[in-house]
Amino acid sequence: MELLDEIWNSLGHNKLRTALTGFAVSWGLLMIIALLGAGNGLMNALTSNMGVSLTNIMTVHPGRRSLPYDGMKAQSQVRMDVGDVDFTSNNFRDVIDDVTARIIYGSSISYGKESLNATINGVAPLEFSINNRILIAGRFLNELDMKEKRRTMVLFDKTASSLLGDDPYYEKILGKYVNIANQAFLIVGIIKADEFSGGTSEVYIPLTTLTAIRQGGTWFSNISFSFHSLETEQDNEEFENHYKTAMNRRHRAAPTDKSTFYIYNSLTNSLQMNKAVKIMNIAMWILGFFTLLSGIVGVSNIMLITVKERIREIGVRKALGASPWQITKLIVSESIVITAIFGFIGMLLGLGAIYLMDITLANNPTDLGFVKMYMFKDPGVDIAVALEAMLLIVAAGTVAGLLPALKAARVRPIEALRND
Amino acid sequence: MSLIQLYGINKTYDNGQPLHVLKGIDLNIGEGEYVSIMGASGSGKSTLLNILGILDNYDSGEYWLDGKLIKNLSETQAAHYRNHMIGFIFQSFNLIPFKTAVENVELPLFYQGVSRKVRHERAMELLSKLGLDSWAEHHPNELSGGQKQRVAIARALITNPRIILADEPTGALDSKTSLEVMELLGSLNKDSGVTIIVVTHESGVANSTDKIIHIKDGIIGSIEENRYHNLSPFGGNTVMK
Repeated sequence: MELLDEIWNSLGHNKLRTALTGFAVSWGLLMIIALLGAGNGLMNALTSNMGVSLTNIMTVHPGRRSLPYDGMKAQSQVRMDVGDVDFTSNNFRDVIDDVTARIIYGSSISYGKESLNATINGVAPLEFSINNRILIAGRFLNELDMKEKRRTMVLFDKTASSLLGDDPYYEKILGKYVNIANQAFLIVGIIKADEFSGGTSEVYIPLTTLTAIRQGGTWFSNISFSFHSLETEQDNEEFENHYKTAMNRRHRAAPTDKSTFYIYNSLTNSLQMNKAVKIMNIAMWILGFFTLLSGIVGVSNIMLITVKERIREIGVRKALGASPWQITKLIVSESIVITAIFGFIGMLLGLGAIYLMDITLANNPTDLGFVKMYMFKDPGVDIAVALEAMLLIVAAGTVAGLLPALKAARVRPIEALRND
Repeated sequence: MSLIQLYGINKTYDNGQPLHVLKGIDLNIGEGEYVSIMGASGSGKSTLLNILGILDNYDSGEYWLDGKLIKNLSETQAAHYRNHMIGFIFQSFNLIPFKTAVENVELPLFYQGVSRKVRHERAMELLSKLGLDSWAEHHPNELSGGQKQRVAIARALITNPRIILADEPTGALDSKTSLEVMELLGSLNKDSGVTIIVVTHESGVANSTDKIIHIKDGIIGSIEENRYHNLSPFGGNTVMK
């Protein structure tokens, strides 16, 4: 309390200098908070563009052999069928849980007079659970559909809207028939489109039905499976190589051939994503820290000048009986008070800047035609980060005041007796 | 036993070439004395005052203050002795410009850890004794030279020190005010029995004190008793300056 009075006195005595010093600190804090907020905005955008994939899934796409091997020519297409599904689910039980396959082809679909070009997905029931599809009405495809090769169909809400009219009552659509290449399919379910799939017209029918009605071209477009107990990127890569080698052997390709199968791995992807997020976060802190550092150097510099200017006053205080520690305390507290007050102002300004970002730049997805991408989404810092920054300021103030304070503590009291 | 005992104090400054400032000072000053140390500039009187005030170290000899040897003290110990035993009065007053008169007077008590209320009461009491109560809330730049020095005297007295050290206390004052200040110091010495040591180069100032210690070229020349304040050749009622 007494100390605060002392500080208030001497700060008030040098208003302009105090304000100029404080500006550097405010600016540093503003930069830290704004950078972290912007960083969070970018990260949120990235995460949201990735889609929500809670499960670990690998999707295997067939490619071409790069080398001639076992009578197969180079550049010959690798083809996958139901045997690969069985092979995959039977031979890697320690890692792989559920396996599913899909055939994708394009065809026109029609309802009454409306017709449009759609992507037809022949899938197994697992497809829906593996991808966390959300059911709006009716049901997913099931085992009975598969077994009896039923002509049933699940479609995205958006596709339903464009085919059956805007704002439909989804329950009414169930039980209606949509034609695929003049074959009538019963609508049994509507699923929710998200920003990354279902934007184009896309429908699901049982895989077995598709192979039965489609003459030729019934090779699988890809097979995907959920898996467990692969923790690190290295684990994943090792497993992928192991799997590819086994598949190569089965498909009469050179064991080391890398172009026969391509694997998309959602876990590796999110691991890399997490890493990128971490690196970005660190980069933001470092950037902000260096900005703040210039503020600290500014405060330290000003305090040094202050000490120099007040050398006589400090001498007098010592002659009157102030101990070195009491002088140190005075200068360090001044430094902390300056940084704390202006740091707090800077933090508030930073939060203001984030608010501005939020209402101007953020949450407007950029439409790239086939998908919508967020460039910037929900910027902001949580209260913990703001508090950390505040702590950093107090530490910074102490550091900034330390050198000048030690200098002040070393002032010889005979300075008081110098007659200018 | 004397309050202050100096035995063979030597002090050499070394700025490029060594300068032997004090060449073996032996001196006793008793409790309650009113003494001046007089000498020309360069005589070593300021250095002696610095050593007496524990503001500076000495090279050899012994300085006993109230029975304690003052030698090789840490800064913190020195601060403690200055705070509790010694009051300083400076030529240029050395009041802190952004503090009011009463806050300046309180400052030594602040460093003793005395509570705000108590030290304010004591400072106000002292200021009113010196006729300054109506100026208590004024800043130093609103006070005359004489008023400033009286505030400084109050600041020196606030801790009830054993010794008051005054370094050219009238150096920045006109002759009338100088006389008033010296009379004030004299009456303080008579009334409260505080030991006062005044360093000066003015014989008129020295004439106000009871004992004059002449210092020349770093050694003590003569010590004059001056009970009747009629130091020749200036005479008893000589106006200073």
